[in-house]
Amino acid sequence: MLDGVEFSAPEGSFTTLLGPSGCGKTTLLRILAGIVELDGGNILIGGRNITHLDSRLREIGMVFQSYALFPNLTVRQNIAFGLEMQKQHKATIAAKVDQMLALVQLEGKEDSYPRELSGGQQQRVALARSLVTQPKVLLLDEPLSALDAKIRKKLRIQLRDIQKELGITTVMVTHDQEEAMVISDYVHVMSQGRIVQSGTPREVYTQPNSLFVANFIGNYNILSADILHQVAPQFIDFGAPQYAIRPETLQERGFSGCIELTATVTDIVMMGNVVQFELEAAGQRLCCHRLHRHFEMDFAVGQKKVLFVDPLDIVPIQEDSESVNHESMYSDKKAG
Amino acid sequence: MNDMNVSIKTRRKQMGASKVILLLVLAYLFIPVLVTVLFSFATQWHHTLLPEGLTLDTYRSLFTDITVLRALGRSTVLCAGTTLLALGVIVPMEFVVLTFFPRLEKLLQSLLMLTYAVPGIILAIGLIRTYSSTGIPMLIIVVGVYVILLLPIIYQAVKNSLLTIKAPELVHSATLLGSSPLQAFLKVILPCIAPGVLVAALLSFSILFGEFTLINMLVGGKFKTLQMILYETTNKDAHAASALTSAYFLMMGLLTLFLIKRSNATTRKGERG
Repeated sequence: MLDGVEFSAPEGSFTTLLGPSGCGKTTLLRILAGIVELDGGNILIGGRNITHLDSRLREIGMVFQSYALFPNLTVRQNIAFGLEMQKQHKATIAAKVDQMLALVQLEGKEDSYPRELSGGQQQRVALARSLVTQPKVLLLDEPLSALDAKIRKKLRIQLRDIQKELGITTVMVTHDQEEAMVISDYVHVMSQGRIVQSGTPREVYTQPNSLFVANFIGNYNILSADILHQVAPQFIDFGAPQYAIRPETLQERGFSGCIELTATVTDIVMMGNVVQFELEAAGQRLCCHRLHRHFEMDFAVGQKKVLFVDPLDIVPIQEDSESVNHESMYSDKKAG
Repeated sequence: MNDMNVSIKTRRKQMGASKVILLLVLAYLFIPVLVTVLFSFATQWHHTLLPEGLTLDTYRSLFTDITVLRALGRSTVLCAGTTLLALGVIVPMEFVVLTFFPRLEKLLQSLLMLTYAVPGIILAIGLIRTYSSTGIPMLIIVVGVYVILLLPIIYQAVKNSLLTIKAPELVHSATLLGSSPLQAFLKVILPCIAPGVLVAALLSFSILFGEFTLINMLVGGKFKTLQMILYETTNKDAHAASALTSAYFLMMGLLTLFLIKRSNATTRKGERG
């Protein structure tokens, strides 16, 4: 159930609705598409109210999580379907389909059936089919979730490139925060039917406004105010009950104005290109991330480490989800 | 090494025992059929282990008998026509419910399964009492009842097909591309579920073809089907009855083999998709 959701997607932008399973993001997408009815509210595209319009008339394209390709039709026929519904001329349909096949790099696959294609190819056919009718808005329902990690990384860049080339307003739904960060212009984080934070990927990632967002995005270390005072006595309290620190912001070398933090290394976890160091301070578990370069591996299990963090990277977390501009709060407190 | 040898021997013994049981069951089921077929070709077969002679005369007279041929025609028209009517009613209804009113699906399934609860004779008596004075021809009532009896069979087969292809998503996808629900049904859904519908149709046809109780009680001699002719022939001429039964077995056997082949092909297609 959605609870007073309100958001906008600027023309030509790539907007992502990010949240865990069951938060209502897919329901919201389906409401935009006209597949699910809404109890109240409005949907406007380019100033036009489409709230009660049949989904056929909304000029919206959608790529479903399962792609929903028509199994009885070839790739060419799938892509041409929308154009045939618009009763366009056969020559026009053929030309547009060829154009789309080139855009999604599926030349040579026109006469294949969906069951003969890989997951990545099916996804591109679904995308081409939705784009060929030139919709005003493109909706993507977790378009990459069914693909393996390597293909997903490659395709999300392609997806982004296609979106930029066509300049089509796109709204995507995903639970993968890395995916949201990489390809979005704007991110709306959802939880339990509500949008809890909105902003650019950088804003949402570096300035979570609630415990939920801090826990959902990235790998934040969440410390209560009391524990933070114990491990970092220099820290100036903003009055928030908790504070979030990103693992990559904990440095080994000090710098002017930094906060010192002492902890003991308890484990070292190799995560590929990143190494995660797990530490313990005042009974609280912390983690620190480093790029995997051998000459920087100056951590050993059991070792006591002094780490340094920029005070601007210690994000206060309020109980409610109102945004907090703690940069100005910090400079005000220091001046005071 | 010794342990491995013991387990292999044990498995082989188990497989051997299973095969024997299977063969016994198949023998129990098929020996009467084989005997019936053999009897249909026999000239005389009273006190000998095998028939004294073989002949095609029984079959020749059977399939040149105008009564039998007309009964075959009536059965075929009745069963095929009713099957097509049932499909025409159930398939679109099921599509609409599963796609647009999924919450009603459980209720629909429960209602359809109720037909299994009513035995044929009770149904026949109830129908006679209700409709005999309405002026509606009883043959029409039989067709209506047959459609209802086919509901659970067609429903389940079509439901499986619709769920396999994820019909609601296909329809939503087609609708967003500008098609009406009817266009989506005709251009996408129906071609995709055609194998499942065909299996349902053939199964329905074979079930109706073998139905005797309702047609005999509600219509009787006014519309003699092949099953009625078979019933009458059993009391008159054992050879002719055997020939008719054997022909019926052959027809149903071929139909079943075709159903199995189509069903396996549909499963393999689904696995590849």
